[in-house]
Amino acid sequence: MAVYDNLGDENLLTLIASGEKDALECFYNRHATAVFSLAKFMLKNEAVAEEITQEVFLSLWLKASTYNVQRGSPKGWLMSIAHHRVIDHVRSAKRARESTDKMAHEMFNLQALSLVHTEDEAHRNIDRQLVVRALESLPDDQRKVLVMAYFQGFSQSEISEALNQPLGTVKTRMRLGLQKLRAIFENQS
Amino acid sequence: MTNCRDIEDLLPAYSLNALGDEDSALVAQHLEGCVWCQTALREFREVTTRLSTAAEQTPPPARVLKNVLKGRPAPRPRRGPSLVPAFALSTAVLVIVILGSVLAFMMAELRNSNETLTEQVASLEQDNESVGEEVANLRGDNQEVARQVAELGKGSAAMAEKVDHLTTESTQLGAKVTEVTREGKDLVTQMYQLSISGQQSLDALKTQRHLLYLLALPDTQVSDLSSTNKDIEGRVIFNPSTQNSILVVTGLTMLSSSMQYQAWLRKSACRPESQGPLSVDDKGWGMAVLEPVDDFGKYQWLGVSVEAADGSAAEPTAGQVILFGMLTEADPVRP
Repeated sequence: MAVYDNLGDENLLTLIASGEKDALECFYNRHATAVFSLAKFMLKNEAVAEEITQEVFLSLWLKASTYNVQRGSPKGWLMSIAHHRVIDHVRSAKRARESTDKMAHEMFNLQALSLVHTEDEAHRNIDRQLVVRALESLPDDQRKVLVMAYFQGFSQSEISEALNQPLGTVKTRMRLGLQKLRAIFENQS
Repeated sequence: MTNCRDIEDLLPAYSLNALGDEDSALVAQHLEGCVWCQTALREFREVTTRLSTAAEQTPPPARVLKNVLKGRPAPRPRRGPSLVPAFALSTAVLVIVILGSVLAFMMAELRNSNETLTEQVASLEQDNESVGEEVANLRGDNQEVARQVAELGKGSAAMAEKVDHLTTESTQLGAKVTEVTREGKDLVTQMYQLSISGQQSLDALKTQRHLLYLLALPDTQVSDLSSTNKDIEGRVIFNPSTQNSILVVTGLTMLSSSMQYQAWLRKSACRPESQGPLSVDDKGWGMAVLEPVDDFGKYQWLGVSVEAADGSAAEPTAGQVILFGMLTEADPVRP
């Protein structure tokens, strides 16, 4: 395993595509926490989050060969796959109880992302605190569409309907919000 | 709806997984063949990846890794239980009895055939003796023919010696002609290479002179470019008054003669414009004078790709872009 620890994520994906089990284990050790944490946070259900984490890493056996460096880092690609799986789950669950969920977005706020308080936790979650602060610094309307889309699984059409705003306005807020976050992240680093 | 302008409109929602199935498939299809939109998506994805860390970071239970590692190869489907009926054994006994009777009948038939074959063998032995006599006669004829062939062979050997001699002389002449031709070709190749390297040196000198003029101007600006390879760095040196600009790239590796580096400029939602090849020296420095169709300030993106020696006419080849960046942020050369 020590050999694999020295390899970059892109090399690990190449080895996974050729069937190297140890390479998958190394890739898992690097990124499973991020996948599991996102799924658990969005679904509020640890058992389903475990299931999704397992599915995402199992799917790497087949998908690793399709990774394209031009579209972003291996971690970005992995988190996109994981997010996609969680969104699928959120939407199918939402369809099952459609009538009660129409106004759910109104109850969501950044309290759900509240910062940790113990020193140890704070140390482990420094990056998380920076991201939450960046989100809090966005204008309300931009933050709302980003949170609804990314963390609550609403499509842009559903956001437009729920907020009673034209689709073009929702698109603009998404673009501006992402651009502002990018600028903030660059300044933080 | 597959042009870049329409797709760029959908990319923020695509990076957030907030598109419907139809739009999502449309974007995915476009991305397969468009390196510019792939790069734009990468920038949004960097933000959404970071966004995912807003969740409190807790590791999954150890059993998840165990299940993942157990998950390959996929288990084979289990075989079902045997469904042979109870009466199968008695049926098998009946079949064996019938087969036994058939075999006894076949053995009797084989015995009769054997007697007939013995008679036929005796008749064939008689025929064989008369064939032996005919073979002896033919052997005598054959010796006479062999004597005549030996005489013809002597005349043929003398002719072959003359042919060998002529062939040797012809081969020597051929070798001399080949050598002279090769020397001639080498000379032509050397002249051609000299003319190319002379032209390249002239182009490089012109580019360097252009760069010196630009650096001498008081309001010249410089803009850094982001790279897909950490060893490669790129800068654009631009003068807003004269609209002159030069791309300077370091850390390039020398390409084979069949490949070249090609520079591209692009305005938002427009097709990229080729800026021609970069002249690269043996230290890995590449330069190109940028000559856009429109005012330089209207361009937002600049890229460098690896292409075949005759260049790509339409757009950078997908997966071959080694340097890419926005041109919006520039610093003065002389602060």
